[in-house]
Amino acid sequence: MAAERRSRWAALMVAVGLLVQALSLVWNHPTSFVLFLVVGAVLVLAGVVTYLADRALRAG
Amino acid sequence: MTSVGFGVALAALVAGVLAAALALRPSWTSGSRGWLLSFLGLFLLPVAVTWAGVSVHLEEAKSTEFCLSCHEMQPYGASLRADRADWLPASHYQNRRVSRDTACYDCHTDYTMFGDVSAKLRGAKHVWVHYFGDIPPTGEIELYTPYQNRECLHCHGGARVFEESILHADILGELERGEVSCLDCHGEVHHVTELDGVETWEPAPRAATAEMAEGGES
Repeated sequence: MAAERRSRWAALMVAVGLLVQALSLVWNHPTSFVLFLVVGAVLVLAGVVTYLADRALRAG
Repeated sequence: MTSVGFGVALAALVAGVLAAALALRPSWTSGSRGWLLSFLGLFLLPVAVTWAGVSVHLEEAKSTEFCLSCHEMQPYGASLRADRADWLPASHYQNRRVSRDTACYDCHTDYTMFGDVSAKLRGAKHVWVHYFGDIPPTGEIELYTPYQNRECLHCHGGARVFEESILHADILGELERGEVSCLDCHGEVHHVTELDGVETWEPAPRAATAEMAEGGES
């Protein structure tokens, strides 16, 4: 159950991060660049790290 | 938006839908097939899309439209279209001495190994000042560091018309060593406080230009 919860959180962060990235890419403005990096990329990074930690914990 | 930007946005959306499906059904991440699906949806695609997205944003950040999308920069953009052949930005922009699509970037990036990075960091500082800082009035906005001859010489250096000009020929060495600044003679550049009443030049539409060229040939 704990593994599924970690997977769910990882997937949720990646999904929201990618959605923010998609929206920022259709708007050519300095604010969209900041939005992409500060919100989109950070959420995706957090999701990917959570996913890798989940995999490591499952293997261990 | 460029077609590459649209493609990456679409890829982000598709990858996001896959990640959302994994969030709704976390059991899909179990087992050997689940490992492959989760590796694809929660690692490979997100990392690839983010990498591509950063590249797209960095490329679009070079566009004139991008720089002029902040209202503080609009008088500087207007100086590109001023009907004044003696103003540097106008003569460069209107005579295609810089690319019209990347006019700001062409003159304001640093032509050094990490010039792109430092230009982007300065851009990030602009965004910070835009939202949280005190924006100086038009005409009082200054560069963070003195303008380097290197940026002018990136294009003009080695150009015959530049080096054989009687005004430049005697001081080429000093210009290259930075002992004399280009701006010592060329002075004020954007003239943003003198724009009132100055007529605006607009480029002829591309289609009309092509038709005129065809008409001239026939």
